[in-house]
Amino acid sequence: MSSDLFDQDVSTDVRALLQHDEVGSAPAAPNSFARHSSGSGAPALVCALVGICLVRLVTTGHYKRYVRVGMGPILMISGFVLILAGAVTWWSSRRGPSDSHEHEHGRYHGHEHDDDGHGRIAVGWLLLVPVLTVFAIAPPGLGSFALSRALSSTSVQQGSGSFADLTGADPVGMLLKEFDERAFDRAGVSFAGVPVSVVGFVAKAPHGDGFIVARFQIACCAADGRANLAHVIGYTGTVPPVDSWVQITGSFHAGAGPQQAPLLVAATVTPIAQPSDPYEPN
Amino acid sequence: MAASAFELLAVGVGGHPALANWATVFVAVCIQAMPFLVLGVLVSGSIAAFLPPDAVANMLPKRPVFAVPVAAIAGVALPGCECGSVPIAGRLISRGAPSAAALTFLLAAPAVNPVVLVATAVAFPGHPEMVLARFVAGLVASIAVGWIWIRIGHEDWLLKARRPAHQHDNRLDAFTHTVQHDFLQAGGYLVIGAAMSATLQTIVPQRILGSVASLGWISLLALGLLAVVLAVCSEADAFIAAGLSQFSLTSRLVFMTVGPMVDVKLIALQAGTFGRSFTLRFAPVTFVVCVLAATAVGLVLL
Repeated sequence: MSSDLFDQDVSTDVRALLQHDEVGSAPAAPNSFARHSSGSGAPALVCALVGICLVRLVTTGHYKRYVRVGMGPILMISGFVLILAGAVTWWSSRRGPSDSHEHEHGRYHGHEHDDDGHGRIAVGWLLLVPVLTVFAIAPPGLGSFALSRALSSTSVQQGSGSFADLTGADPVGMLLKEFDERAFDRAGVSFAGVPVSVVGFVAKAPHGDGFIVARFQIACCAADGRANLAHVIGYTGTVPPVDSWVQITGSFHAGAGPQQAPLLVAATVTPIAQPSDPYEPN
Repeated sequence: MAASAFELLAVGVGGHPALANWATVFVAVCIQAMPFLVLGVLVSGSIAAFLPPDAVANMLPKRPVFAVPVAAIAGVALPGCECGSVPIAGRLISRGAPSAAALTFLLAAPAVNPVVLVATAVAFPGHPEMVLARFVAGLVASIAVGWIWIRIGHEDWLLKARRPAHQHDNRLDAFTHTVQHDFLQAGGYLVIGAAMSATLQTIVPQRILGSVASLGWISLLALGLLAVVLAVCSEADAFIAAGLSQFSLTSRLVFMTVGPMVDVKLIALQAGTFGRSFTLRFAPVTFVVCVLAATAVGLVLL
């Protein structure tokens, strides 16, 4: 890993980006962001934009694609704190620019530049990258690609629980996690032949017939996703495209497909919209 | 025109599962860290604005050898994860705290705080000894690194963090400017770290790790390196470790000890706060100490 990556390259790129800001500024300081933190509202704006992005993610519910549902309130609070911090510093930079305050700022940042601090605050501009990614691309959440990268194909371990037998004739809705756990509990005896209904996204089976239906569970954020999955067999209709969401009714079938995924014999496969929380609770 | 460029970009990313996956993990790591980063910079802003300059130094034992373990215990009180502790440690150093103590606090806080320990207990329901092992390994590693710093550390490597704090006429100004300054600095480097983590997660299939699970000390190193690459929050790493059931408990303890102290996201954050020459030395030393400490604790407790 190049050590230069951290300071030098970033500041060079950012400086190039900010070239137009340099016009009419004092030529000495290469660190425009730092200098601007006294005279202009640029850093305050970045702060506030990150805050607005967080609040927007919570109000649209899209934050659930990236982090666990319980983080909504603290994301909201963090967003407002950042908006407030941006507003206060912006206001104080507008107020009384002619007093000795300004002079102190100049001295401080000159000093900062003296110690190897190139691009130290300029790096703050990078915060706009995730903000733009959220607004422009709106990444969809973990899907079949992540499944192919995951360490283990299922998060379920032997002995993760013991279940009472299912009863009745109507399909019982359950999380894929429970489906997997029941499959591992006494080799699936607790299904007792009762049909089930599960929700997940479609993925290709590594080999063999059928397809995979999977849904991730996350502990904190999408970087720590672990998949729960079932191998769907016996479906004669058209298989929906990879990464589309489906609700499947069917019944458990003893035995295991490739990679130990439990088998689900599908009766119906219904395309649905991606759930607002695409993950199963941990 | 900008709008259509964005649409093209969005379609392009949607059509490439690898890019979409990269973007999801990248945004997830950034978003997930924000509340902890905000908490961290609020604390660092308070230190800069409201603590008298010598307060921290006066609270700690005069001799660094004793100040280090006190700082490690103090880490128990910060209920956050590693992103928040970096700006706090940086601000402690700029306020004149002994560097060894501040660095020990930096390592200990995300590893041994109550939130992380409770998460570990929840993730390992059948192994309560894992919580104790994690606590002990985290304390031992952070204290050992602090003492090593006393022996071989150079204050020159910390010039970036030693820079005197900005003098403001009133405390509210000092507070808000420090909050904003530290947020932009740490946040920018966090973005770099998140991009590295997302790239590694997208490129490297983790399945290759499974082949070394039974290979003794190689599996210890493999999980240590996995912790560096994944860069997940210390509050979540126990759940990942629990899922790595093909590895020994000691290997998984290594994973949970290295994770809060050395990972690509932290390396970026530390380089931004303390400087490159510091991080190039600090991160490898910390990695080795973490692996050794966790292995030793694992042999005794697990």
